[in-house]
Amino acid sequence: MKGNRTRARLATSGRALFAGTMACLLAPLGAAAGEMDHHHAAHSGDGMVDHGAHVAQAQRQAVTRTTARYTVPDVTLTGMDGAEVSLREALGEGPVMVNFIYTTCTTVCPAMSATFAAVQRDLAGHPGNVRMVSISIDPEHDTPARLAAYARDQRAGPHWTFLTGRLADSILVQRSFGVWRGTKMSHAPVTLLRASADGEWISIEGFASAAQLVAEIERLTTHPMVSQR
Amino acid sequence: MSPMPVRLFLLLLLACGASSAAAGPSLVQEGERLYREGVDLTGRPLVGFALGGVVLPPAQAACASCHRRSGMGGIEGEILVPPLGEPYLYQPGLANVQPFGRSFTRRWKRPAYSDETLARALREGIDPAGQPLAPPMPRYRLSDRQAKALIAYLKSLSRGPAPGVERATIHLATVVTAGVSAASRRALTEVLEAYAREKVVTDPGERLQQGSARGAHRDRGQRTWRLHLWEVGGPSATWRRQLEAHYRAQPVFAVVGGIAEGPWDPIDDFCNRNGVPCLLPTTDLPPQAAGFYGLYYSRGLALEAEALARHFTDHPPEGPLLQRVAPGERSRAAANAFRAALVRLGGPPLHEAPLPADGAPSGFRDPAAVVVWAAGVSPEELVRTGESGELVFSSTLLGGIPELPPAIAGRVRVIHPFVLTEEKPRHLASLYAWLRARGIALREERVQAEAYFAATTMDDALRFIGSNFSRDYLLEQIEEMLDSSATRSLYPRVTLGPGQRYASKGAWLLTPPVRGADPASRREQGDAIWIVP
Repeated sequence: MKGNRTRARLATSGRALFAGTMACLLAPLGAAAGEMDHHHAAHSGDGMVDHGAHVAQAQRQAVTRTTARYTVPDVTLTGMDGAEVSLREALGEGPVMVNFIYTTCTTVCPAMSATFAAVQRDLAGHPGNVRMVSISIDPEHDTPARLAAYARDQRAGPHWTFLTGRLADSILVQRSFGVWRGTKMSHAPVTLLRASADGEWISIEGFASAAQLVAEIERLTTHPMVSQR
Repeated sequence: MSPMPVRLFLLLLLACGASSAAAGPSLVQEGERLYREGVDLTGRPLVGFALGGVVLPPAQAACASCHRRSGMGGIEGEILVPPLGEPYLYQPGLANVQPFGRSFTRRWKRPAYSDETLARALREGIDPAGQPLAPPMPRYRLSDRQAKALIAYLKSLSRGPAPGVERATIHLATVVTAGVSAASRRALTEVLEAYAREKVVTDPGERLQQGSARGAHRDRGQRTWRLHLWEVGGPSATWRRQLEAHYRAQPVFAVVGGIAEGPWDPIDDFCNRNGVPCLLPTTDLPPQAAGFYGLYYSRGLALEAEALARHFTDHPPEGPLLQRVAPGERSRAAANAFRAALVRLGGPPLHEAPLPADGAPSGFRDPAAVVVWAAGVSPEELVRTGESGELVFSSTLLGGIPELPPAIAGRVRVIHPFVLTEEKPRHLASLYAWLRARGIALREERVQAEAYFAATTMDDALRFIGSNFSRDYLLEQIEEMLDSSATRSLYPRVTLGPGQRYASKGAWLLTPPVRGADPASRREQGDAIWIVP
């Protein structure tokens, strides 16, 4: 479960109502859009943001980085080959990166998987022998065969595993890592990293670039949290 | 008149005709291919770069992968993908809008796009005000022709009112084929007509109260439902033409529910050829590879067969596996699917024996397990003929889960794609209440439950899309909303995702209850296993 958290926020915070947000964009009348904007200004809590700063920020991929000690649940998942594998075994003893995908996802997962593919390329030959694990959050649709096809599309190599299984187990895993959002359509782009089986997890929420993730891994494998195997 | 000017004139006319024929439709077609598939008409891929310069495969470079086929975009997690199409892009709007979430940056107004600034946005990733587009948006390397084609296609999106939608009315249809029993037909139409009768809207719009558009009328998308019953008869090969005749006489926005005697494929064909969403009909024989416009509860008997094949492959019986098939379209379809799935999965060898109407024994010696596809033969009858081994039946073909005498209950298992008996009250509580309130008797639970859920799904999705009457958008919303629907269905879990068209993906394999046993011990859940093939 989550332990002590340290937060390093790189993004300014504020609020917008969901329905208002979509209504905002989906009112084709220019006048209506303006009207909705007034409506929004009344709801938004924050003050004005320096225009230049948030332009720079939009370019810098705002991510939220936290550390936590999650308890990895003792579940048996299924690999792309249809064979059962315990989650703990799949994560291994050494450095590992984890993300959550589903094969029919349109926006978040293609970006996450493209990033993992780039990380895989950048880490080729890295002495740390980093494992990469992608866990399906739509396991009933993502059969082993579908995962295998997805893995092929992403050009996943031997260090990058895809896992599916029973729906209840997938939800349990998501809850255990604090990424459960109620439905798969609400899923957040989260990447988890860990130096070793008894180490802390680093949770990166947002669209981290491959370079950012590789930097994290290098930090983890040069200065391990606890003694290595 | 001298011949020269006439000839010149005719030449010019020809030239104009030729060039306009070349420029118009093919540019939009090319744009559509780029937009939906990420390749141009010669198959060359659209070159798109993601974060950090990673080249995207065509399927991901394609605009539709995020902005969706409808061009309406959507919200996924914390990403808001904005709508495209002329009313959105070519007017001032808001940029960098994000849904509520933990990281949030302020949005700003952006001016209207033009063709030039739109091409620049695609290539350089900046909007008309020079602000960067959100990081998940790829940058593209586009030829001038590709840029022109894409922009032409974007302008063609959200153009014109959708068929079946009028100022205050929306036309919907349901389909019933010949061969469906009068009772089932009545069960279906009674529910759908009662539901549609209550969808009456006196004023579909609202007056805007604030801002410079005060007093203007804005369409909120509410419409009175007009439900049409489309009946088709004769050979199924003629159904599509009959449906198209119905459609020509009265265009509809979508088809909701329906029942067919026999495979649903010809109807699915109509839906896909005409771009009409067809939601959640009652059928055991849906198409096995749905197109974009047909949406189904499950893959029907084929799903049950494949679930069993998966079961017997993972747990091979300790002896011969026998399949007995009664005459009838559904039994044959299930048997074919079972046979094919066993081969595909590398399961145990399958022996087969027909099951005639008189239930004559197979003559096969000592099977360990017998899979029975028969609508008219009960487990007790089969046991009486001397059939040995574990007997597996389909609850769909049996018409329900049988209660069996203690002597044989332990030998029988049932493949059951619906919710378990003990969970049914919870799932169907709102259906029962709705029927009761309207004085409709519970006649055919499955037909009524499926019709009711189809109607509420249509209702919820129409409410969400508001005045954006795009059929593609309707389907995309259903994909997103189905698993959080306030109404529950006859299935344990229905869920979709982008491009998915079968809502329920598995079936229970359970032991039927013993007749006369204590109700408390009758829980099927005990040893029921959920199989997703």
